[in-house]
Amino acid sequence: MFDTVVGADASAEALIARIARGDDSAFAVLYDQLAPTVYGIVRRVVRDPAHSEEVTQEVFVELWRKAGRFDSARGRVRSWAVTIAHRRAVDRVRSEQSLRDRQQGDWAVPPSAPDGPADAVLDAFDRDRARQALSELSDVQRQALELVYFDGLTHVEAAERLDVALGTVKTRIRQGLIRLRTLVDIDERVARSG
Amino acid sequence: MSMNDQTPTNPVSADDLAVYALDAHEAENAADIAVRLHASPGAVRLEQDLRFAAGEFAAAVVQEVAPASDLRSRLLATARLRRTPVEAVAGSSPIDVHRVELSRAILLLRDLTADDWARPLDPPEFAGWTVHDVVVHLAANQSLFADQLGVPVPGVVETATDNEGRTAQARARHAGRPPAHAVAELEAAAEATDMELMRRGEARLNETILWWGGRAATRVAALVRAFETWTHADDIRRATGADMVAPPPASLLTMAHSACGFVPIMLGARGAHHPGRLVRFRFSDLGAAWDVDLGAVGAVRPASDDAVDAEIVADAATICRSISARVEPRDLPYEARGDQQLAGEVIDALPALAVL
Repeated sequence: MFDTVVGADASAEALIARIARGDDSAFAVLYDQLAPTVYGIVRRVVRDPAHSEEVTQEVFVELWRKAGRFDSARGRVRSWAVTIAHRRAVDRVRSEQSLRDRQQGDWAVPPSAPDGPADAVLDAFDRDRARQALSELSDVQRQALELVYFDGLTHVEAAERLDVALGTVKTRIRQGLIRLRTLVDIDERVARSG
Repeated sequence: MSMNDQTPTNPVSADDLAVYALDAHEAENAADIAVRLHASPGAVRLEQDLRFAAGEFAAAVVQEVAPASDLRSRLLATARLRRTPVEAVAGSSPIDVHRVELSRAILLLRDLTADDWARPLDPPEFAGWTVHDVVVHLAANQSLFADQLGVPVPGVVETATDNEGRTAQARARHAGRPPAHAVAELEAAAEATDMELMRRGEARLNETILWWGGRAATRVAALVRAFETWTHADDIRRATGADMVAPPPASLLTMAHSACGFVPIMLGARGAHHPGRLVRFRFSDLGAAWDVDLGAVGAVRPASDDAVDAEIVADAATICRSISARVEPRDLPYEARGDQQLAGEVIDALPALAVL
């Protein structure tokens, strides 16, 4: 009756508790549930498919290793996975950037052409849903958040890209993020009341 | 420069906190902020809130993309190689166990539908009760705990100080009210008790409070609240067709350790006394083992190499569910070594202290 077969529709919270006890089958189910989201986030930031797969693998290994530390009081497993995915994706982008910078400095290798907005993952980005949530933000807040979150820029790079003062971009990020936090709360309440 | 050489750290500005939560600082700045965050628990909480909000948002808006099909098999193979299951080596503080279990239950309640609230519960002692009734019961006992900690919940008028009497009063007051009122009261009581426990801190957990007609250490009362909340949250999950969910390992470790200390009382309630005898509990899901002296309440120590009279190998979550009378001893899977009869007596006595 208790902790028996893992169903494909088991909640991520139930799965993570099993994974903390070393349950491989629960880990496989969790992968099936979260891999498209995790890979979607990572692709959006990293862009390169091969690197994105490596980062996705790192994310799931971290989930596997740290399952016992998941604190459900802080949020859902899905958002926890996304925060891990984002951090690792950003680390990868910065690491690759640093490598390219060093190569340019040492051997003057010409930079490869940056991915443009026609990138496949960008095209696949669900613009309708994003637009609905992002429409609650001002244009400048949205722009700043997208640059640092989905493009993986530092706030310094974002300020340069937007041609505004560093303090300005930091304030836009803060205001946008706090607004998003409020929207997420409201969204959850509406969903739950339905 | 070591940490001790540093002058008092400047607080992290809200702007920097938000940038940090989005991983948008350069590495050197991020490291500096991480150090400064350690000095401010409030800032840590806000940073985590913001980070999770960004995660929730990103999860909602990003297009899901299926990775290459062979990644799954590669990952599963890698995961098995990279880690043996994490063993909880230290239990959480009872303060944290209490906070986590109340939070888990409240999150569960927020997801219930109108139909869910009217579903019947399966434990026999709850015959005729709905999910709504058991939440009123939880709120009643939580507000009682708040009273005993000296932080009464505004609007709660019940005066009974026993489990069943308090619940009866609360059910009468909540009759005809929407479930949201019970959830709000439970949340208010949880917040009041959490805040008071944190304000008092670890040092005062051994102070006794009035508890169900007697006196109990605050740590015991907090763990009882956590244990009962977990039990009824699982009652609700079963009633609504959801999988039951055990507490995080560090919480379970604390609860299982505490439960072991009560085994002599459980045996006593069944008329069995075994002074001088030792039983070892080896919890396969936690990687923990303790030796329990059946002659003294709370005499639990880490398992040694010494011989014991009986050893019981079982899953801690299932043992705890048996203590709360949700798993019949005859249905409890366990392995016994040594004195089989003594092990059987211990297993049979587990639900002896279960109450409503």
